[in-house]
Amino acid sequence: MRRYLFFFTSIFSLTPVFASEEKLEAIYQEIKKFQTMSVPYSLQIEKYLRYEKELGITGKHHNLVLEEKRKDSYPQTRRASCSNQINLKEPLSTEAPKNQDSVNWCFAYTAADLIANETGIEPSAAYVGLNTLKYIPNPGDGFIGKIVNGIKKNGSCMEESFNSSDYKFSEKYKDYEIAQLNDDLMKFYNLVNAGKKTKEEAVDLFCSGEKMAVSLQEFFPGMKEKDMIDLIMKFNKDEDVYILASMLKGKCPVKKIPALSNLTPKYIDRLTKNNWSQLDKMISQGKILGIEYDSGMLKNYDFIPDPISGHASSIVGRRWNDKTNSCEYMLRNSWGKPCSNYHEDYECSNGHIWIAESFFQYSPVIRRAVYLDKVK
Amino acid sequence: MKVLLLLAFVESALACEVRPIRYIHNSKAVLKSISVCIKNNKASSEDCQDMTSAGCFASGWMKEKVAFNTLVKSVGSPGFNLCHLRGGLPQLYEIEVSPKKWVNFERCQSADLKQFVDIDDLISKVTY
Repeated sequence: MRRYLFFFTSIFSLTPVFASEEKLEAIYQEIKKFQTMSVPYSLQIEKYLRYEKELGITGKHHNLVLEEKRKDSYPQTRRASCSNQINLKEPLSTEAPKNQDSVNWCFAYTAADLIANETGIEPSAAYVGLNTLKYIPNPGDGFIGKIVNGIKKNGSCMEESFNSSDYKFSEKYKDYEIAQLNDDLMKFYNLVNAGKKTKEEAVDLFCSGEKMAVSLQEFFPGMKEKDMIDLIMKFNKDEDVYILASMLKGKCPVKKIPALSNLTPKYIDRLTKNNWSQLDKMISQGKILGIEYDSGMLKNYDFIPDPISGHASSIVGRRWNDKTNSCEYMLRNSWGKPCSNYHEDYECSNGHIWIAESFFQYSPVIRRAVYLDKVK
Repeated sequence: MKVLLLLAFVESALACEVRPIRYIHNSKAVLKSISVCIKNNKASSEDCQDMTSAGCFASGWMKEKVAFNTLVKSVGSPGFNLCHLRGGLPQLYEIEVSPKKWVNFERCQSADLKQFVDIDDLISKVTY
């Protein structure tokens, strides 16, 4: 009996140790992997040593990790230049990041944040998202800056009159993706504007029991098919050709933002360690920067960046982290408040996350950064 | 920092009670009272205090793995994507946690809208 008891107590007491060593081994393998990939690994070194301390054990790679730490000169040189600051101003400083729902409007949320932080006036991200193709007829890289210019030129409904958190967007996504509806409408108008179809033919093509007609009715309940077709027929290319924009027109006033006329988007392309100081300088000047990057890093930083994966968020602050011995940047994303959206190593509060610069600099994670500067 | 100062701390003790909630629908504010259980800043309906319990609509959701790219690298926020993917309906809303103090929450509702789980909770339990 005693022998069995000893066996069981041994099993239970050893299990955590095995688990801990396994975890330390995994962190050490991360260090080795990052070395071969030429990715900075200060964060992993600190993580290894911190984990040892928490558990009160010495891992089998302890000396090797200490040696790596000694060779790594990054913390000593970087600490002095990594001053702490958060650049969020009203209204952003008092609210958690918005949630873009299941729609591809990340760039609209980022552009709205850039404008709000510089002018104090908050354009409606959802309104801008719905009208994307009005603002940028030829999408491509540089989405955020193009949207800012579009709002500068055409104005926008403001967040207070067109709320981006409207339940309508979640509800309607269930049956039909809003962005797809926008795309279908664009196909309709492109066919007409290119002279390939008459309006009547295009209406026949898209509205005779096809998905656009169905989805429009779902999106705007109560609208009869005949009314919808009449509305589509009334458009011409010189007017406001986008049906959603037109329908929304009566619901919220489109205004220009006077303070935006003095501002223009400026870009920093392909951010790596070599040109990171340009972004740093803007943070020191109190600016926030929109970035176009691969969102894979948000949940799993051990990944190979996809050069065509396009997500947008803002970098809004900087700090030195003594625990991780690294300079970190605060990311304001458009995935709302939940912190479970992010990797457990990133410190997160209320939807804002701190990420070590080494992960941002791992080329080509950030394809482009954009900030608003005074027109000279 | 203002943002951090504004972090709403909702009591960590489990408490299920009828509370006012509000959200925007079709540009109008909707105010309702529902039974909600709040624990560690996460809110759920009573049957879903433990998401894995048999009575909760989402109990089976975590058994099936989700491709990383489907949630994180596709468009939209991961929690909302997961909720839609499993047939739920996500919603941004606020709960009055104490008189005149409204706190933002995100929930994933069952298709019949009778139960709900916190989106933060939901996304923390997903396996890739």
